[in-house]
Amino acid sequence: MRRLLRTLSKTKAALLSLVVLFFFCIMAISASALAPRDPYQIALEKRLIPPAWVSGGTSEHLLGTDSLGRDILSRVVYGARISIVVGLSAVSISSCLGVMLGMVAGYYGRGIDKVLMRLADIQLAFPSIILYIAVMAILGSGLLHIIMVLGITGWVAYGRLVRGQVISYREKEFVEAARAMGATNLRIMTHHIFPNITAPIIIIATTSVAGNILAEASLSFLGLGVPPSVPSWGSMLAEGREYMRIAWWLPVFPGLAIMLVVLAINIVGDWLRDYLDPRLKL
Amino acid sequence: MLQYIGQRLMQLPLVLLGISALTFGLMFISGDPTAMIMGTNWTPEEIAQFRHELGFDRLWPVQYLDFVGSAVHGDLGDSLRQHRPVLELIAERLPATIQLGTAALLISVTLAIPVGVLSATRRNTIYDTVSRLGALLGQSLPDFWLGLMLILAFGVYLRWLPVSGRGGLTHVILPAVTMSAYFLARNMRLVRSSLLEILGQDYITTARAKGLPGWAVLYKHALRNALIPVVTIIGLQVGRLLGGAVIVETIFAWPGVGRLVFQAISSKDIPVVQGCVITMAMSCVFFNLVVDVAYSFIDPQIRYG
Repeated sequence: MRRLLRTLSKTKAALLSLVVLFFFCIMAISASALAPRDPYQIALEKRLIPPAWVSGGTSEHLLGTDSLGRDILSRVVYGARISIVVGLSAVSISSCLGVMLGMVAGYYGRGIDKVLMRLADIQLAFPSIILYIAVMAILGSGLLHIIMVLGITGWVAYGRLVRGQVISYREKEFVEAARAMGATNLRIMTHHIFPNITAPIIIIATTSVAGNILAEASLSFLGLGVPPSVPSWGSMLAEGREYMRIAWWLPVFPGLAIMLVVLAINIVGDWLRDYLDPRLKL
Repeated sequence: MLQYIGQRLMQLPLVLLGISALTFGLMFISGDPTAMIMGTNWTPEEIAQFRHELGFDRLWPVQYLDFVGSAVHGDLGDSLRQHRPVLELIAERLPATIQLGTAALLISVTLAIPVGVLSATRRNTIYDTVSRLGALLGQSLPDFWLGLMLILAFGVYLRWLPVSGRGGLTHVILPAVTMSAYFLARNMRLVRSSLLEILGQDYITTARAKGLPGWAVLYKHALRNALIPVVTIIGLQVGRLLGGAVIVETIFAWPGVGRLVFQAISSKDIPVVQGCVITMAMSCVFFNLVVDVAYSFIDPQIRYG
């Protein structure tokens, strides 16, 4: 832990990114306290007010208002909730599923391995966004549906990685020793192999959070994510697209928020990879 | 090698069958499309007649086998909305998607290699820092947002470039740049890291010790090997490129397969969705196979077996 903090203090970009992520997490958790206005409150007489620093803007609405007069800053603050909830929940589901299936495939091999890896091949043959769009079009929009779709389809990356790692570990001496001492297969997998393969799983999980946030925003942008009334960065961008010729601020701010979060996660992911696997540091 | 290619070819029908089953299954569980197509102003008899005409009243295994059988013969059915063969619709839109994808790949490769090489050879300089930051930014930019910002800047304010539809060369610039941003960033990082790894190897030190000039070491010895993983990754990017096409083509009203599939999903035009998804998935499988096999030719150290 001390080494982790020491290397972190030397990597300014990663430290700054962690601060940014912390800020967005706080924003998501205490959105109701931080947002200056009700993000759902419609005020047609205040529609399309530009940001405060542009002529015609008002300090009442720092980032301006949308086509229904809703405060953009408040909607961006609430939007963090959707992005962070989707990003973390989907990663939790896909990592659990992928690690479990990858362990079973790698440890037991044979038929089960072949079936699972062919399933992975089939899924990888689909461009992921097409798969998301097709499934969301069937299930209908909704936060839970997005989390389930991203969570379940995300297993492949973990599954393939864990399978490869387990194969390389299952014949090692310490595993043989545990087996000779009468440890069950489940115990060998969870207590002896798993602790050795957590580093690459953490790296994939970090970058997957960014991928899931982008996927949620893409689906919401296409009208297949959360319902348009719910403040989500993707759906705000979709609305902004319609009005951007007369109100540039509509698509700019939610997009900036997505970019900042994803950039921060990518930088932290890079730093984690360098820290956990120094051989990759170049 | 031949054994490996044979093995991969043997697996191909299984993967294709899986793709068709998944596509068919997804569309099947979406419910009865007749209700969506016909609306509410029809009698139950008329709906039953319509279902019978389209074959939706048959058992699903029969519908699936019929679907696979026809697909094998190149018949992907007719569009429920446009009343034209799906294959014809896809063939009509495919050139636009290929044009856009090729332009995006060309932009990303022609820029990523020189920028990556310069970044690696000038490691830890301001140039390296800026290009690495640029690459990180490129990987973090949502393509739909980048597209909107480019439309805003070059279409709405500067009025330099057209922002929708397919026409002359100018029409392809904005969508291709939008689509290439991610790949440019990723390929640049890959070229940089791959070249740095190679430059640290013993045979490069030997080449330098022999007195070879720096450019000869870089281009004749290092870069050739450093580009091997890049070639592989570029081949594997076809899937993401096709996925990205859905969003980019929708934003720029580009008449390609991506936009066709999105419109078909929105209007529940099942045969078109199935046809497009199968075409895209098959393209991915095909390119992955080609890359896998080509990899062993490019890198003689790799032997499959």
